[in-house]
Amino acid sequence: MRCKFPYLPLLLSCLMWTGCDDELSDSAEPRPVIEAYISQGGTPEVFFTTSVSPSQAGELSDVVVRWGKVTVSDGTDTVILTGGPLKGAFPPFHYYTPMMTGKAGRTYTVTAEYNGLRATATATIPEATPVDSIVVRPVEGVDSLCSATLWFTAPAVTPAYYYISVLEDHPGARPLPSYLGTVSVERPGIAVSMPVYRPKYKYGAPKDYVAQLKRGARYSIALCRVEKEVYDFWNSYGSIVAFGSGSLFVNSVVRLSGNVTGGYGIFSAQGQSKVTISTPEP
Amino acid sequence: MLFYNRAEAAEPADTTVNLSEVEVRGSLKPITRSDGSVTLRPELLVGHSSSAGEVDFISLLKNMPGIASAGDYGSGLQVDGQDASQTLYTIDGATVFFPYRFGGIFSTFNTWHFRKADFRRNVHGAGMHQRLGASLDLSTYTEPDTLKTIGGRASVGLLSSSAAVRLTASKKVLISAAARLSYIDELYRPLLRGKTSDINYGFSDYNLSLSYAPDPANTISASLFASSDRIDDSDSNYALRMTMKWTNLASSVRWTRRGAKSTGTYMLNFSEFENNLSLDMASVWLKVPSFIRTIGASCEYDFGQWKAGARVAAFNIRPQYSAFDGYGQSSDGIVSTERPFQGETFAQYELRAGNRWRFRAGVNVNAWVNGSYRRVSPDPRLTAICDGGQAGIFTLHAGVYHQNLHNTGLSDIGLASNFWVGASERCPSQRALSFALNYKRQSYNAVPTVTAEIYYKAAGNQPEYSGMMIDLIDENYYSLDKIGLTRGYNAGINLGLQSRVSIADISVAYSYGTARRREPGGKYFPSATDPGHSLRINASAEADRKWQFNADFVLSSGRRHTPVKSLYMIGSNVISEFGPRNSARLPLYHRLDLSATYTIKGRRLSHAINFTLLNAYGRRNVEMQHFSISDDGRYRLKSTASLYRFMPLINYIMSF
Repeated sequence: MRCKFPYLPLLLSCLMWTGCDDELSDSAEPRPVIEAYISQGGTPEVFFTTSVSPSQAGELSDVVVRWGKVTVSDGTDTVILTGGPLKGAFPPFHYYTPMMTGKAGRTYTVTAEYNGLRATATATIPEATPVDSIVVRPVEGVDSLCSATLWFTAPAVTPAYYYISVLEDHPGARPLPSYLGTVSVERPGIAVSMPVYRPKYKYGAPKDYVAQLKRGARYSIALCRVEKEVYDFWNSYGSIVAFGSGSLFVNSVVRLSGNVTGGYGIFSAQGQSKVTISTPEP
Repeated sequence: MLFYNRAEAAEPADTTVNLSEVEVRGSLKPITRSDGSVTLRPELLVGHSSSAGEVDFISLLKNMPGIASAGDYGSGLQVDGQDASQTLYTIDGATVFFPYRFGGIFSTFNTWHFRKADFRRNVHGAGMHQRLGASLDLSTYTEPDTLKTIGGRASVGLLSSSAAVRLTASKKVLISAAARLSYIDELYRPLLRGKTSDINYGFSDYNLSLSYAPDPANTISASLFASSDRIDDSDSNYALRMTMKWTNLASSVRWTRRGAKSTGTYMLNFSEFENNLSLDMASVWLKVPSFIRTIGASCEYDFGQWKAGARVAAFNIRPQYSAFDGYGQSSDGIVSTERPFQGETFAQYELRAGNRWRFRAGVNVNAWVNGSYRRVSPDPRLTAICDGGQAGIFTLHAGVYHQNLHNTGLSDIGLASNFWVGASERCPSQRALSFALNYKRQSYNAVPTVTAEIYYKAAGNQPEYSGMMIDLIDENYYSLDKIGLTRGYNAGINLGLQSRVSIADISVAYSYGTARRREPGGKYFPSATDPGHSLRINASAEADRKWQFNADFVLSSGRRHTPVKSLYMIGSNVISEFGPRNSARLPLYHRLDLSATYTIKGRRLSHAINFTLLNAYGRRNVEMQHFSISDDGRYRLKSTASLYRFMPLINYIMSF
């Protein structure tokens, strides 16, 4: 009797061939990561961590560098920063110094070294732009929330680049970029408004993130003027935080460039104007 | 009883033969022709697996080798690794720019309204419209039914219901109408509602066709298609409300005049696709609209060996722009409107050389004017067909193709928010040099039907979008600035076997394809549509005249994605550093869909109930991977699996 389906060997070959898939694993060696801030009248603060390979699960505490050497130079003086714990925050360790204060127009260089890893970044503090007002309104239909809008006047020289940083009033909080908080201003002298949202972060954050400000809370809001390179970083970072954490529907491959040589991260030298507000009780 | 083997039928067999008291039986599956094309006829699809409760042309085509969508939630057809927008969809000659719905469910085409759907893959004549890839042409009924005055089908599914009616008003006039309405919100809204979020989705589509044949030599027909989709997403934690609405319109008026030696077809057509994405977040609002419209006229002549024609089309295109308020400096967006013009003429001659050889040689001369960008391209196309009798039929095709419309945007899986833009100095016309060698040997003496295809396509000016969502709230956002161009190639092989074993039709198809792209001066990288391996097995059987069973198994390479090379922390968030573009694949994809259809045939009414079980063994096919952090600070790779698991569907079809 003739076989009705004489191509069985071919079928089995196809089955085996189809099962062979090229799953690439392109893990990388750890690199130094800097998250550094300095503002006019403020002291430098640096978070020093390392990158990890995504090939397996791990603990975030492993990325914190506690025994690194971190220096800040203003071109004339170089200061070694002191490492110390930062309770409740992540990373739970930071490098700081009271020995240097930021000045607008001055260029600073951060260098971080640890166990053969070395990263460096240079940035200049721009002139700060004053905040004209912050308007707080209740969110329609939601008793517990209110929306805030920050107004400022664009400087005479543009383009100018900004991001908004928000410090919440709870233990372990540190100033973090506001959700969708970047803006570039092209036209000089015009009134500019920015919504102020709470920072969105994944580690140490409440489970249900609420973007609008909560009623009966205190927020320290800073309008931070930065260089374009720093703005581009925070802008891309904002896209990752808002849209890039695993969206099925939009492109979530966003590459951060930053200003760090030899590693990842950002040295955010910023001319900042701070305003503290208390939102109305519910 | 007449046994009708559709495989043996000389396609296209569009002549009408009225038979009475005849039962037609034969292969239940569409048969691939020697040039790789397929014709789908609704009457043979009733027993097939339903896609979300509807028998759908596009979902059925996804069961063919080398044809895929971007995951379970992607809708567009990626044929042989080409972008979904490189496949042309037409209804009676009028273009449908976006025939997809949200979330990978069935298309906007109401199957029962159409007489047939012709799918062509890599082998096209000189008359092929301006696309680089495949085409799906849907035709409505034009011949009045001499057996019954009124006929049609109604379908009730889990997401929507539809009805299609054909009314023979006289011996000369046929009116067809169809409509489909969804009730997703009414049935499923509580299931889709989260603690703080709410999602609504609704859609509808309508078809109306009119055919008037004053005499046997002349037919005048008009066709109108409209579809609308709207999705609303709100989240009280963000005080956010996002809405996306998209609409399609395709219409045509045709006059077909049949002479003793020639047939002439004259047509006017209008098509439109419009998408509006809007976002409201307390003091901030954002609108991101885009549209494309085209109006055209054409004439085509068929003289037997000679075919010729001409088309003109004017476009009105608004590429995506972004207007917003409450964020930075309020912006009306950088609005640009394009008004390109396209003209083309084509001629094709078929030469027969002996009993075995046929040659089709033709040229499509097309011109495109968009502002100061002007291009004229003569696209030659040559097809050689060798009929080796029992040894099989070989078809060799070589051709040049141009596509003057680009479709691109933020969505990796081809959402409606992706926009159309006309070829210009900034984004010149896409072009391709295409080769295909097809082989088909018809089943005989219990040997299966064998089909094979090898293709190679060198493509240039392929658009790649580089923007981010956050760019939409930049007053300098100009969508065309975000389009980069690549060039590359698609190559692969498609193999198919079809056989009837006892009461079952069995088909096995395997394909392997590769799609590579590179930026100017750069290295080749895999395209996001790179198809890889795919094995598809289908079996369908009629146990008796009432029950029909169907099984579809697919095993294919996982979708291409850009892998994460390393992770680091900034601002208490995990940041991914990515490796080379599209250099990894998601895990292997496989699933088995089963369906059973019970049919009761009456004198006037016929009822069919289809039970489908999607992903019958519950394979967790990965749609995407990302990293997550747990409360105790542990990070891990998290895979998001498709919702299409153990999914039972039921669909009722009434034919009259």
